[in-house]
Amino acid sequence: MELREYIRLTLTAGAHVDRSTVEQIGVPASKAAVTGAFLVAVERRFPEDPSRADVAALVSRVRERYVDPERLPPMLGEALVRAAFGEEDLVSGMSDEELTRGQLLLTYGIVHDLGLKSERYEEFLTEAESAAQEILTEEASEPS
Amino acid sequence: MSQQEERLVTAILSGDTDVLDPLDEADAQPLAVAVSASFIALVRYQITSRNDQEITGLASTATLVDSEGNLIPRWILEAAIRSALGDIQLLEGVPPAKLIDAHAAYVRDAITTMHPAERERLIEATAQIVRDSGEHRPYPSKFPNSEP
Repeated sequence: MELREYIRLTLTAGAHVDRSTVEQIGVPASKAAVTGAFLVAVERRFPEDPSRADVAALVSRVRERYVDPERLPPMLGEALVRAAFGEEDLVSGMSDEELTRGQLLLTYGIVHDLGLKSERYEEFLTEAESAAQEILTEEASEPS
Repeated sequence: MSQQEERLVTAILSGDTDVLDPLDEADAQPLAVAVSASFIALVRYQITSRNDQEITGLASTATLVDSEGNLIPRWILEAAIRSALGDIQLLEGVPPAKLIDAHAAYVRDAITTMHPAERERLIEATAQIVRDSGEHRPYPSKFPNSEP
């Protein structure tokens, strides 16, 4: 499975991805795909650095309208968005599971809230795929 | 506030943080009350303006670990601080055991640099928080170490 198709799947499966699908693409590629799509989604949603209130409002909207709110604690959601805009230490100590689940749910909510259709949706997938590929390339070049 | 809670609050805020270590089942609930109320009093004492920068600064002043050496996640610490200032809804989805670990670690860290007179004021403020909260206590009612 390619990154693009994996990202498409996360956006059409209600942000639920089963283990066998993750295994098809591999854990590193899966994480890169989720993070890449998340970063592109929040950039689309906030072309300029958002205020704290903007972030809280976004998370609240996603929880109310698009996802099971119990799966996305409000502060976890805010921390993920703020981390995307430079406050990386907010995600320190966050488990991989919390991080991936939060990014998936937020991306799902943002993309649906943006109402991307047809060409614009495909453009989003192209950007997300490219971001994911960049993450994988960076990881590969890091000394182990 | 029960006598046991009062004793624990006094011990914690006097710097006797040994009481935060593994304990008897009978101490679990009063300790949770004492730790969380101490945390709330401490945060309200430290915060002056309640603006975002000040809250973020407080949440990132120290790298905190729980009693087993695990890092306290920053997002949980910030949720704890903001909830102590009134944003109770931010506690939604935060595991109670992790929350109280954050409370205990924060109090343990902050209390070491406080002047005795400040600690006295905090003991009073904490007692007031416990009295005011009555049965609607804005924090977990059980200390995590008491669970198997």
